[in-house]
Amino acid sequence: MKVFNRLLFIFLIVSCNKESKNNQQDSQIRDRYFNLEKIGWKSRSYTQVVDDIGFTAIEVPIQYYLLKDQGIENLKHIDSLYEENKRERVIEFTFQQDEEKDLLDKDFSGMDYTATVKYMSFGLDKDFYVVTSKKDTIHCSGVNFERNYKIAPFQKVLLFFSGIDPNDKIQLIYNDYLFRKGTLKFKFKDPFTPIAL
Amino acid sequence: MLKYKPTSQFVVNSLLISVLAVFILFHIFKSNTQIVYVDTAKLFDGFAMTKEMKRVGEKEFNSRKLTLDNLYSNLQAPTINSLEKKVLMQQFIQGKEELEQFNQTFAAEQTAKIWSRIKSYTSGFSKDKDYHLVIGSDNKQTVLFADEKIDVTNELLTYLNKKYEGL
Repeated sequence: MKVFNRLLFIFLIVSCNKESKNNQQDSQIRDRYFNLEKIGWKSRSYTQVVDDIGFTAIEVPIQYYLLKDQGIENLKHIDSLYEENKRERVIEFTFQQDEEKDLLDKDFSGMDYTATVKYMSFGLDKDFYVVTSKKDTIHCSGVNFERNYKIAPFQKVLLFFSGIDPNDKIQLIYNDYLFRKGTLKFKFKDPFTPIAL
Repeated sequence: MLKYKPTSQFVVNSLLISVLAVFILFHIFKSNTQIVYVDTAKLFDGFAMTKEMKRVGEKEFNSRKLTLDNLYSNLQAPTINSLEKKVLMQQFIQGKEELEQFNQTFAAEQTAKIWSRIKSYTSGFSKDKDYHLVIGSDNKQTVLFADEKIDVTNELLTYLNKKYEGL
């Protein structure tokens, strides 16, 4: 009986420890997502203005897209998906004319409207690349042009990059062949700004 | 003899007038320093974008020149027949024309882009520093004299290079 009691006691201690470890992990995940939510899910925006066109780059954490797709019910699942895809980077890139004119017009790109839309949809990925802190060059793996059909006064594209360390500070480089403004650089200082709870 | 004893109101008024006078003097002095001067040649040459574009231009030029040199050496080869020679000659002439065209247009296009960028960044620099006028001169003819105190070339160059790197 005495041996049984001892065994029971050890079992209880071990099971309690495991539960507390799980709770701690869960709490850490929640804290992380809470912090991301509080900073508005986006990094600082970096803008370069050349002549009358503003080019803005904003880094969006990939957890944002995972949560949008999967919902907030199972954060552990989201976190495991994040762990699998954490070397991916998504950058939101916006073009805006200072008088809110449509940049897809021939006056700006020198091409007709349809050709400009095609270029923004399928050709823009060749104009972007990222330089990591180790001076590695990562080419853009894809681009998604969010068409707004003249409703919004800007043009927005999502840029995708793969194989980047999640804690690495990157520099986005854009060779602007569309509006012929030359090379534009955007240095992301901090991947995400942590906030004190 | 008239005796005058300063009241507290008088002291406060005098103090306020003095502060106002100092403020006006400071404002006048400050407005004098809001015109600055830059050496545009130094600015252009020192700008990181200029250096980068020079490298890009040289690389492109050398690559085109190498292709032309290869064509020329092929043309000189004794083994080719007259038909091949004619085709190669046409390619050589076309390549040479393209190289000349590139030489003329690249520098002009890039210079325009670089100046456009310098102007855009200088606008931000002037707003930050509260400058009303930035005068640029490279030949010392348009600006006959500028005091060293208002020469902000180095300061502006640092700002331009930081902005260009996206910082």
